[in-house]
Amino acid sequence: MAFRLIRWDARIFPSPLQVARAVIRLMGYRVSPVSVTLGGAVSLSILRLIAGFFLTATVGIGLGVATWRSVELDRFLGPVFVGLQALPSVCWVPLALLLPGLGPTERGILFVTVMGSTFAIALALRDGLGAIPGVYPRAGLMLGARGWRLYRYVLLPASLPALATSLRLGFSFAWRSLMGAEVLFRVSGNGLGSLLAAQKADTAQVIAIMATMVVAGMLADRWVFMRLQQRINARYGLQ
Amino acid sequence: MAQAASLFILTGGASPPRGRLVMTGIGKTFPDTAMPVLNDISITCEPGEFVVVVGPSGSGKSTLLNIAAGMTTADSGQVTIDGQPTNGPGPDRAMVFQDHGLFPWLTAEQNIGFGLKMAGLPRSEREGRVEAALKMVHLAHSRRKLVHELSGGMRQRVAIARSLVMDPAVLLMDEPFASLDAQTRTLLHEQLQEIWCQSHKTILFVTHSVGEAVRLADRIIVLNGYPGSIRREFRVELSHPRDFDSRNIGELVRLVRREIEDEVTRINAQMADDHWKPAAPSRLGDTAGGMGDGI
Repeated sequence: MAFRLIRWDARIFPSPLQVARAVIRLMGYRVSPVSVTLGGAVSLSILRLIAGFFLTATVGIGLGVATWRSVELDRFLGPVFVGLQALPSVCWVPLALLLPGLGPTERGILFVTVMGSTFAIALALRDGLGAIPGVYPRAGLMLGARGWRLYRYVLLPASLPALATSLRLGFSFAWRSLMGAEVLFRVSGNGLGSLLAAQKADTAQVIAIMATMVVAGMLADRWVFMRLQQRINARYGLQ
Repeated sequence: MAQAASLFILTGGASPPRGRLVMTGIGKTFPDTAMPVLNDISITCEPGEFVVVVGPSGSGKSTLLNIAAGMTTADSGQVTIDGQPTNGPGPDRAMVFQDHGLFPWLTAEQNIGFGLKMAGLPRSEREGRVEAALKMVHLAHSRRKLVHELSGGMRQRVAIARSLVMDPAVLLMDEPFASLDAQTRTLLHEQLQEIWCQSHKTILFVTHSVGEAVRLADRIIVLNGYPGSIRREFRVELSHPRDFDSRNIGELVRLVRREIEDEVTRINAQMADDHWKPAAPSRLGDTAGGMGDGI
């Protein structure tokens, strides 16, 4: 309807059908400067995401646990984390380009992915761990769970809901940071972001790639992280 | 302690009597307050005795229990179990918390077996003892339920079973029925009496409800607040199991209530601003209307 009324220019505002066609087209041929198909770009980005996510989760969990256990550390690092988390992840790109050993390489992209998501994990985990009812460790001690047993059999299971929440949050931050890094680092790569940055005049293709980013991020969130969180919350009787 | 635990958790150890809890000269001041929470409190619970500590809120009764449990360290004084000084929390002084403190990631039977698992008991032995504990609190049918699938009363019964399965020397109970509705609470009072008559455990029980104290206790210790100190002791010379509706219980409730009402008034006056006028004692403590007292 709106098409006709405002003289829709299909080159600027493509229809959903044109976007769908563009997706199929992008699956089939390699876009010239990055020479990658849509499928190839998606799989490369997902590989990068997996690597980045493992690294950011490890660092984030470490920082989160450390600031939870030590009040002094939290007093010092807590505000720093809040500040760094507020920084948009692409703002790490110029620094990544300058730092020795990074530059516009896989390591540079990894750096931006981690910096853009690890503080979110640390903060969410710290808050979640801080909300564990004090009666759990007290009950554990009363029942003889001392030393490492208290961690293994009480604090670890008690922290699972917080862990799931923070990882889910961290994942979406990591995906966004990765896409941002790929768009800006396009010289180096042929991930989904680079494919987007390589587009010139074809709006349908641009939207097709953006839609792919949205769908990939959403599917990972729903199939992996939301499912994990729901299973844990159901067991623990949360929500 | 745990290794020496008797297999017969229902009978406890028959001889020699076990579970003498002695607290002497307990004093405690928290860093942010000037007034001590507890001031020179001495309580002895004889083996198999059911002692209830009542006091207005803020009288330090929970702190006293936490000191007995080893969760809080006293500034002065000593706690011994059967002559042995205690050192930190442990399964010989099992505690039932007000908000149950069950682990939500475990089922009812896994919660009950948790302490035995920590003590390193083999699975086969654990199963038998968990089974007996489940039967004692009449929850055999709910063994595989998760904590959030249990009602409030069932949760406290699991918490009691989780403590008793460790065959503790004393059972410490911190207002365990405070958040239950009146009917469930009465049911649990009956069950706790039944369990206590079977197990002959020493129980130190803390509550703000005079009615609860009179129903359950052999001996009632009334605490003063600010600073917490012992005001008076009552012996409840009524045989178990008790008829909660009997005249004797009502009379005794009135007697203890009168003892505590001055104290409630005094503390409220102390904590309120200058414009607050304490109600006439007759309004606070009058039980003639038969309104119950929150038991």
